[in-house]
Amino acid sequence: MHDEDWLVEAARHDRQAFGQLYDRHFDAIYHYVARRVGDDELAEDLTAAVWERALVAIERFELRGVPFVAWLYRIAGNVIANHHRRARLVSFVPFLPQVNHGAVNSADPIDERTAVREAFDALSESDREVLSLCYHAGLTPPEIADVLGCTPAAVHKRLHRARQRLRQRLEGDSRVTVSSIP
Amino acid sequence: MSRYHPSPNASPANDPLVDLLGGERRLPPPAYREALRSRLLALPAPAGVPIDLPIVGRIFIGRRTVGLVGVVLAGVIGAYLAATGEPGGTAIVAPAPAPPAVAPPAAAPPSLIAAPPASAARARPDRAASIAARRLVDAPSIARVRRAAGTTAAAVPAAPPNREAADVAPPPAAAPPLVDAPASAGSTGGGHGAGAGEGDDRDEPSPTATPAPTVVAVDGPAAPPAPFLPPEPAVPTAAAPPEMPTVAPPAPTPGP
Repeated sequence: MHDEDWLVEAARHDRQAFGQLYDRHFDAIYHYVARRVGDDELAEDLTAAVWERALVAIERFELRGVPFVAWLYRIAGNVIANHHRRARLVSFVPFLPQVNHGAVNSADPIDERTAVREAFDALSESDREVLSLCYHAGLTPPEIADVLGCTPAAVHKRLHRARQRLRQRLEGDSRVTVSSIP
Repeated sequence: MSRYHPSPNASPANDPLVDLLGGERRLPPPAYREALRSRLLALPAPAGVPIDLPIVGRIFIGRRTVGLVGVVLAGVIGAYLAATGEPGGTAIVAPAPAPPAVAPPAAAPPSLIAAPPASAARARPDRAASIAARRLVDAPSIARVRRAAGTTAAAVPAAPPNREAADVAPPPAAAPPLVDAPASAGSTGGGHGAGAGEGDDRDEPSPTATPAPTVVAVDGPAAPPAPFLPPEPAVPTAAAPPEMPTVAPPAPTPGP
């Protein structure tokens, strides 16, 4: 049993206990969301949506061997996927402001990182999710398996295929040395 | 720090994507963080009745919904009980009693002189009478035919007395003339001797007397069978019926 399981059990009925969980995991969730969407304002809105959904759903949450933070990452992935799906539908409507998800942050270097970021944004939602959990959230494959609800072997396979597709997209781009991509 | 919190050294070693994709760590503005915390803790608690289900998990149902569902269930149960008419349990309907077994009517033995079925006799007395009358007429003629064909009287078993036919049947009508016609009283003068001898045979037929080989009485047309009765099978096992008094043909009157 994890050390914070008692805190999670208390948070089902006590808002102050939920506040302590909020203080523990807010920064990690915000960083993950911000790296996924590439926009600070959008990241704030989506992070607020993640915690609001977690507050409502924590009373139904049951400890089944999966850490509480993995459950938060799963909620964040669903919120981001819903946002992308909505943005894709809106893109078909003319005269509406288009939200460019995965916009390059001004703080990032331009050449190589920009190219990698552009290639990353061109990947599918599934590839971006697994790569974000690995490189943005810094989770290990077993931890990613807890978030995605699959086996660690499946996580290794998904990571390998996502890297291959990213490598294929970066081929031909002079800004990036493809050999540096594993 | 828990293992789920990212650190600069948590990524795989010698992986260029760590630097290419990772970048600097994104931190939220402090004001935003505190404002969101306050807003979340101030939200009202979800109202409802928590129900823990085995597979789905814990679900919440509003109190109003619970009340409505309870009322509906009570109404359904009450309607069902009112329809069945019993306070509880299912109504047990006893099976209908089996109809009494009707014994098949006993088949009448295929006998020529066999008595008609009692049920048929009771149902149609007139039919039974016609049957009995027909038997009385046919049985002697059949026995006579057998004798004429060479069948001995001993080989033919005696027929059981047809009591029922005798009780039901009316007195037989005048029998058709047979082989030996009885001599009339007025003609006994001329053929007395012959008539006497014939009269002896006529009155008491001897069981050992040989039957007349030349004269074969031909009975009149047999009475048509009853319309609703099956035809009688010709069974040779019937016993010889009692002899009817024979009527001898009148003796030829001598010439003048």
